[in-house]
Amino acid sequence: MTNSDLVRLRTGIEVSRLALGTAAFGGLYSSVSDAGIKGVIEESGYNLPPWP
Amino acid sequence: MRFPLRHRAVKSVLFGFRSTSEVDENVKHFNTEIEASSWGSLVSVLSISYSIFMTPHSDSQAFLDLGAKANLLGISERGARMARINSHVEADIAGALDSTVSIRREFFTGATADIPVAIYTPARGRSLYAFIDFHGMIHGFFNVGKYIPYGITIREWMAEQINALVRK
Repeated sequence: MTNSDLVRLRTGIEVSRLALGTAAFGGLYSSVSDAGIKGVIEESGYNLPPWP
Repeated sequence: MRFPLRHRAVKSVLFGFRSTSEVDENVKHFNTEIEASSWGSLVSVLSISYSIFMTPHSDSQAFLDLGAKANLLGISERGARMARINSHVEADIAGALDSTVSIRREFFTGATADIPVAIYTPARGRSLYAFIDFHGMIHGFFNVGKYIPYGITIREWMAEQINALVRK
C-alpha cells in the first residue's frame, strides 16, 4: 500500500489512501500562512487553480 | 497512520499537515511497510495501555469490582471476539439467565461492518409479537464487556413477559 493508491467508495468516487485534511489551514492550534497552505497543498500533489 | 486502514470500513485517512516538510516526512512514514506480526504487537500494547492508563468512572469501577468478585474476565483477558460472543451466556452480576428463553446470535454482514444481532425467543406458545431493541453501547461499556448481561436479562424478561420475539 502506498499513499497514492486509489480506492473506490460506494458512491463511485475514488480517493487516495492518504489524503489532506484542512483543519490546520483554518488555524487549528496555530496559524498557517497562505503561502504555507499553498506549499502544503502543492507538496501533497494536488493541482491548484490559479491562486487568487 | 495506517492503523485505521486495517479496518475494512476505513478507506482513506486524512492528516492536517502544516508544512511541506510534514508532508514529505509523513508520506515517507505512510509508505513504510510494516510486518503483520508488528501490528499484532501494537494492538497488544494499545490494549494493555488502555487498561492501565484509562481510569474508569467510579460507577464503571464499581461494576468492574462486582465483575471481578464474580470471577468474570475482562475484554483484555479473553479478546474482543470472545467478549462479544460469550458474554451473553456467562453467569453474570445481573443474576442467572432465564433458561426458558433461547438466545440465538447472528451477524448481519453489511458493506462496512458486521452487526451483531441477538434473537430472544420465549419458550411458551407461539410468538405473537416482535420487539426490536436498537441500542448502542459506548466504547467504555463495550470495552468493559460486563454491562452486557444487564441488557440480556432485561430482554429475556421482556420476551417472557410479553411472549414476544425480542431482537437486539
